[in-house]
Amino acid sequence: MSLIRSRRVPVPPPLENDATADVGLWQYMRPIRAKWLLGVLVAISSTSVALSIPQVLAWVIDHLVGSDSPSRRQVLLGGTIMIALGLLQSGLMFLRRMLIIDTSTTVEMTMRMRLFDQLMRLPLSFHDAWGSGQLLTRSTSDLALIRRWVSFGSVQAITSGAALCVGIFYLSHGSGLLALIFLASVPVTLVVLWRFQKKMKALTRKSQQQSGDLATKVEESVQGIRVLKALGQGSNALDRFKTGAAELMDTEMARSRAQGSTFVATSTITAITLAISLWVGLRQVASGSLSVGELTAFFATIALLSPHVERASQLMGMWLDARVAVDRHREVMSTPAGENIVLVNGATVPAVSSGEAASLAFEHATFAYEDAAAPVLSDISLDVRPGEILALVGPTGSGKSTLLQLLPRLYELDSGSIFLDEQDIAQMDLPELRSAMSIAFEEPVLFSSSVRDNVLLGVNRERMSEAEQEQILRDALRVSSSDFAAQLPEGVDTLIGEEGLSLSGGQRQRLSLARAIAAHPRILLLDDPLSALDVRTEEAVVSMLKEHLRHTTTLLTAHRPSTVALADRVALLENGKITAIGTHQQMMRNPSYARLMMLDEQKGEVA
Amino acid sequence: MPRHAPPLAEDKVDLSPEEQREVRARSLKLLKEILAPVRWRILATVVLVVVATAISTFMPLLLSYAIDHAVAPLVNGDASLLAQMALLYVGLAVCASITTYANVVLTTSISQKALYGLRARMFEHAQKLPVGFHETYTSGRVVSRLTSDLETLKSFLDSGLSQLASTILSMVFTAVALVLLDWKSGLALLVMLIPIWFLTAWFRRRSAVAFRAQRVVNAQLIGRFVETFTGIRAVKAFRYESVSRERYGDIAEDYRVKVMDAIKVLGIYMPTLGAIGNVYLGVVLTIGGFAVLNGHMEVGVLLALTIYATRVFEPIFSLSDFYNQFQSAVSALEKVSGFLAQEPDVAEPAHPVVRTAEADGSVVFKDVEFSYISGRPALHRTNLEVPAGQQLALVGKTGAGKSTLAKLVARFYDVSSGKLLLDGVDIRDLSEEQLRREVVMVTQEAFLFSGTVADNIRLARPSASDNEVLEAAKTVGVHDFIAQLPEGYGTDLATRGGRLSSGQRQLISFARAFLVDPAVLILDEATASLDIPSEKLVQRGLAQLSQGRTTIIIAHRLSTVLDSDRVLVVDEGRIIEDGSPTALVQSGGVFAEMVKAWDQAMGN
Repeated sequence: MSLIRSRRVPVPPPLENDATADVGLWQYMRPIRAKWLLGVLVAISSTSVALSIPQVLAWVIDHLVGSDSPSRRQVLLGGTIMIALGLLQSGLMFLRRMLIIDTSTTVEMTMRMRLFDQLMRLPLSFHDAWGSGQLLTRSTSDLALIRRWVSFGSVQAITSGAALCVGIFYLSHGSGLLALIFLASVPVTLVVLWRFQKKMKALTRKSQQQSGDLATKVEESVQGIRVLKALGQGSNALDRFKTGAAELMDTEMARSRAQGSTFVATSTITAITLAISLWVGLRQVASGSLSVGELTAFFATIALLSPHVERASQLMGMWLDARVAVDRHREVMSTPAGENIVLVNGATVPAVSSGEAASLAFEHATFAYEDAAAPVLSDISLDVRPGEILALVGPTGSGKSTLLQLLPRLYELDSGSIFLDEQDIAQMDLPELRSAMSIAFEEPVLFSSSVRDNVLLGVNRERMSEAEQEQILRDALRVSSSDFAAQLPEGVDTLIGEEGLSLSGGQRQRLSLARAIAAHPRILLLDDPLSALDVRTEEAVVSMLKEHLRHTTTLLTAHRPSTVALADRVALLENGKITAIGTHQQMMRNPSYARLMMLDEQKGEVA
Repeated sequence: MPRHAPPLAEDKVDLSPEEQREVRARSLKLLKEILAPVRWRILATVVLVVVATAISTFMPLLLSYAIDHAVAPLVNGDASLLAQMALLYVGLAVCASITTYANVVLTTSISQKALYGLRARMFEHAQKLPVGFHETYTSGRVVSRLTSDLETLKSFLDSGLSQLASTILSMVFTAVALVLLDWKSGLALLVMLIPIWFLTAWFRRRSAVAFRAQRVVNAQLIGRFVETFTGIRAVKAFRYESVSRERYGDIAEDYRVKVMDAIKVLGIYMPTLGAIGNVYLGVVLTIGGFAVLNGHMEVGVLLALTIYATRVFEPIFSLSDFYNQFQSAVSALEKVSGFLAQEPDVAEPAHPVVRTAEADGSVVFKDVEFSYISGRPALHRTNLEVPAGQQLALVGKTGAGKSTLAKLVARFYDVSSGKLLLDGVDIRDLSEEQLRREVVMVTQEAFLFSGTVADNIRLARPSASDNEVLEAAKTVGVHDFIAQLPEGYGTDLATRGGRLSSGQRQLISFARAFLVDPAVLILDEATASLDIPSEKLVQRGLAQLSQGRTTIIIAHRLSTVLDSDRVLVVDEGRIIEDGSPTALVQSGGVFAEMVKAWDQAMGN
C-alpha cells in the first residue's frame, strides 16, 4: 500500500519575524505552482479525451447507417478505439489527482503553520479581542475550504471552461444550429444557478449562525448545570432551547425549498433545450443536412457537458467560500505589531545576565485596554529593591493583575516606562525579558503534559543534570505545598490538562505556583496565588515562601491579611493610582487600607 | 481529591456479542421512536422516488424511439409524431422534476421534524440527569452528543434515506432497461460487476480506515490549538512558544499525511471505476453495433443503450458514499441512544406529594448516609433537625463534607441511606418543580451565561422587573461597576465578559439570589476573589436575605458564623460539634481553636 501511505516531510520553518509575508493564495502556491499547472493541463486533456468518445460513436453509427457494406471490422475498430480513449481518459484523471493532492495539502500545511506563527507573535490584546473560537475556525474549517478549492474547485472550474469550448467545437462540427441552441441555454442555467447560490449563501449563513447559537445554549446549560439546578431554571432553559431549535428547523426548510425549486428550474431548462434540439435535429436529418450519427453524437456530448454546467453552482459556492476564507486568513496575517519571540527549539535564548534578584522601577507608567474609555493604570511610579517582596493591595477591579502583566510585556505601556536593573524593558528583547521573570496567574493555566513538565516549564533543562532537575522539582513542589502530586496515579509523571487527569482548583493553583518558583526567576509575579487554599494550607505555604523568596524580587497581589503578611512593603492601589506605600504596620494608619484589610474588626475567616 | 472520569461504556471499542445485540436493539428502538410520527411521510417519499426514477430512466427510450420512428414521416412532411415526442419529452421532464422537488422538501421535513423532537428530548434529559452524572460524563461529551452526533444523523436523514432509495432504484431500473433492450449487453454488465464488487469492497475498507484516522488526528489538532491559545498568557510568560510550535507542527504534519491518504484512496477508486465504465461502454458499442449489422437492432436503440451504459455505474460511487454515511449515523445513533438510556438516579417521583400549605422550611436528616463512591462515605450516619427559620452555619476544612451536606438538601444527589425530610415530606417524594421552588441554592461557581448583565442577574427569576434587578445589583455593591460598562445592564457578556475580574463575576452571580423567595436558602459563601469591603457588603445583604427563612450557609468567614443561630463543625464526613457560636467558643473545642487561630494569623 505504498501508493497510499504518504510520507512525512519536515514542518516548514517559521519566517523571519520582520519578513512581510505575501498572504495571497497564489503566493502560498509559489513552490508548487508548476505541479499545479501541470495538473490543470492533465485535467484539460482528460476532459478533451472524454469529449472525443461520442465522435467515435457517431463514426460507428454513420458507418452502420450510411455505408452500403457495413463490416464487422469497422464496428470492432470503433469499439477498440473507444476503449482505448476511455482508458487514456481514466489514466489522465488518476494522474491529475496524484499531481494535485500533494500541492493542495502542502498549501494547507504552510498556511496553517504561518497562521500559528503569526498568532504566537500577536500580543495578548489581540487574543483578548478575538477569542479562541474565532481563531479555531480560521485554522480548521477555513483552511479545509481553501484546500478543497485548490485541489478540486479551481481545477474543476478551469476544466469545465475548457470542456465547454471543446464541446461547442464538436457540436458545431455536427450542426451549427444545434450548437447555438445549446450555447443559448448555458447562460440561462448559469443565471438561475447564480441567483440560487446567492440565496443559498444567505440561508446557509443563517442556519450556521442558528446552529452555533444552539450549540452555545447546549454548552452553557451543561457547564452551568449546577447553577440552573440550584435556581430551578431547567424548564426555562428548555423553552429557550426549543425556540432556537424551531427557528433552525424553519431555516433548514427554506434551504431545502430553495434547493428543490432550483432543481426544477435547471432540469426544465435542460428538458426544453433537448426537446428543441430533437425537433431541429430530426428535421435536419430528414432534410439530409445532418447524419443520424452526428445527431446521436450531439445527444451523447450534451450528456457529458450538462454536468459541467450544473456543477457550476457548486463551484461558485466553493469559490465564494474560499475567497471569504482567504480574506479572513489575510485579516489575521496582516495585523501588524507582532512580538519578536523565539519559535524554533534550540535557537539561542539569551542567557539570563545574572541569576540575582533584580530591581524594578516604574516611572509614570500608564496603561489602558484597547476598547476602554479610561486607563486602568495611570501615572504609576514605584521602586522595588532587589530581593524585596512587595504586595499590591486594592479593591476588586483596581488594576492589580494588569500591573503584574505589564512587566513581562504581555501588555505594552501607553506611556511612561518600566526599568529592570536600570534597563528600559521596552528596549529589551522579549525572550530575554521574559526569561528573567515568572508569573503565577490568578486563574492557573496548565498544559496537557506531565506534572513534571508543567512545573519545569520555565526551567532551562538542557544545561542541567537529571539530579539537578529532580532537586528543583522537589523543592518547588514542597514550597508550594503540592504534596498531592506524589499521590497521583503515576506520581509526578501523571498526565494532566485537557488530555489527562483533571485536578481541583486548589491543586491547579499550587502547581502553577510551583512552576513560577521552579524557574528561579530574578523577578517573581504572583497574582493572588493562595486564594483557593484553606487557611491552614495557606499558612504553611506562606512560611515556606518567605524562606524561599529571599533571593528573588517578588510582586504579589492579595486580598487577605494573611497573604499580605509575606510582604516587606505594601502598595495600595485605588482607581489605577498608587495612593500609599509602606510597611504593613505603617499602612495600618491609612484609613482606606485599614478598611480594605478590615483591621478594625478582629473577625476573619475560619476555613 | 483528583477526579478521574471512570471509563464509560460508550468508549469501549470491543463489545461482546450480547452487548452488541443490546446496543443495536437500543439504537433501532430509538430510530423507530423518532421516525414514528413521520412514517406516512416516509411512505410518500418512497412513492415519489419510484415515480421520479422511473420517469428519468424512461427518457432515453423516448429519444431512441423518436430517432428510429419520427424520421420517415418527416421525410413525407408529417411532423406530428415528432411534435408529440418533443412535447411528451418536456412534459415528462417537468413531471420528474416536480416529483423530485416534492421529494426533496418532504425528506427535509421528515429529517427536521425527527431531529427537532430528538434534540428537545436530549436537552430535557440532560437537564434531568443529576449533577453526579455530569461530573463523570463531562460537559464535552454531552455537547458532542447534542451537536456533532445530531449533525451526523441530520446528514444521514437529509440525504441518506431518499438518496439510497433513488440510487438503488436508478441502478435497478437502468439495468433492467439494458437487459430488456439487449440481453447480451446485460450479460456484459454482470461480468463488469465482478471487478467493481471487489474494487468497491477495497475502497470501503480503505476509506473507512483512512477517514477514521483523519478524524482522530483532526480532533488532536483542534485540542492542541485550543489549549495553546486559551493558555496563550502562560505560553508567552514562560516562553513556551517553540515547544508549542513543535508539538503543533508535529500533529499538523500528521494531519496532512492522513488527509493525503484519504484523498489518495478516492483518487485510486474513482479513475478505476471510470476506466471500467469506459471499457463497458466500448463493449456495449461493439455488441450493439453487431446487432445493428445483423438487423436485430435499430440505431436509436443503440443510442439508448450507450446512454444507459454511461449511467449504470454512476450510482455506485454515491452508494459507497452512502455506506460511509450510514456507518457514521449508526455509531452516532448508538451514542445518542446510550445517552438517553442513562436513568437519572435522582429520579422524579412517580406520585409526587402535593402540599396544601406553603412550606415553612424545617429540614430533618434521618439516619442519612452518603457516599460518592460506594465504600468511601462522604457523610457518615447523620441525624439533624433544623427548625424553620433557623440560620445554620457549616464550618470545616476543604473537603470535610460541608458542601455535600448542603447539596443533599438541594437534592443534587440522593442520600445513600436514611431520608431527608422537608416539612415532614421526604424530598424524593417532591416533584422537581416543587422542590426547586422551596429550596434554592446559590453556588460558589460564578458561572455567567451569554446574554446581557441584566439577563444574568434575572436568571433566578426571569419575570423580575428592571428595578428589582437594579436593586439586587446595588445590594451586592456591583451596581456602580455595571453602570460604567459601555451599555450598562444591557452589555452583552458574551463579547465583553472576558475582561470581568473574577471578583466582579462573583458579585454578579450573587446578585441572582436576591430575586428569589424560597423557604430554604442554601448559600455557598465563597468570596475568595473579593476584597474585604465588598465581601462585607455581600454578607450584609445575605444576612438581610436570610430573614424569615431557613438558611444554611457554608461559611468561610468568622463574622458570618458568629452572627448565626447555630454552628455545625464538620470534619471527615461527621458533625463533630453542634451548638450556638458562643456556647462552642466556651466549650473550648475545635471551633474555639479556629477562632483562636484566626486571631493569631492577624498578628494579635
